[in-house]
Amino acid sequence: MNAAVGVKVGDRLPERVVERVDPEKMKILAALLRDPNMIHLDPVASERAGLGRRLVNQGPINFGWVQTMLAEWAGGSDRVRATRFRLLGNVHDDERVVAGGEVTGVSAGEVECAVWLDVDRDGVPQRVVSGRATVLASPLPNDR
Amino acid sequence: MVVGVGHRFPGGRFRVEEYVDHLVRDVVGAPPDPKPGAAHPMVAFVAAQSGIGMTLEDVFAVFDAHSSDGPMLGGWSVDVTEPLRVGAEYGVRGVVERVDRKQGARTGAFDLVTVAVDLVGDDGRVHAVVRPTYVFPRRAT
Repeated sequence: MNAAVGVKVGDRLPERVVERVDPEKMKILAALLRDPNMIHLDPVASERAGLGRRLVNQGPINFGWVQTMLAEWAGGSDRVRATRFRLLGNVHDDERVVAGGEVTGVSAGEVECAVWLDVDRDGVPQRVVSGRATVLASPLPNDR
Repeated sequence: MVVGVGHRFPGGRFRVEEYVDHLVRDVVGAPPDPKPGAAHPMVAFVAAQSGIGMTLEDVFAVFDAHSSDGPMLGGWSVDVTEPLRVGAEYGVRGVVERVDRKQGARTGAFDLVTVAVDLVGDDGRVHAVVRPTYVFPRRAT
């Protein structure tokens, strides 16, 4: 279902919550990307880099959660036509994050959104990703 | 800087294997797509990085940096004209689009480098343009 149909400026996107950042996912992505940066795998490497003795989640996972939220909301990955992200801070293993967004513009067949990822630190949300996205609101040829 | 705007990477090809989409979805907790064959949007990141013709460490080296220097991904964007498909193969070509030297009060000097990576379909058209922006600390300069 494409929830982006019929929206209006100011509408909030359904949040996507990750209750616990899983370090095993960092290992999978490091292997997939051949990412040599040990801060995703070894807390000692993070500490050596001045980032604290905790694993640092890869940036693509951070914005990948936002893209997942967008794809689910829009009714499919093929409806997410543009995303732009600024990575503002780190996310660590075992933290809780929330992806969110708000409609900022509606035009013929497209919806513009402000999107973000917040990490919950002592009950206070801290923004670690901010960005913009364009999703399709009009039917695609392969829509059922 | 070792290279500047206009520098071209070797490029190559990237096939969106089913396992790649599966692993990406596992990493970001995404369910299977309602439309079979539609790749998760983050697959564009994997395709661009994997198909540029160099390892990430070698990309860092092009900019006179090493993973131990603390390079980071400062930003990332993708513009899609034709959604990526599982099973499809793409030509990958990358060029340095922008280089900016910055000075942070706490961080000192750093370079922001944006690379434009085209993912080209079998039809010869650009299906997506991916733009990672890397942050390279320049503590010694």
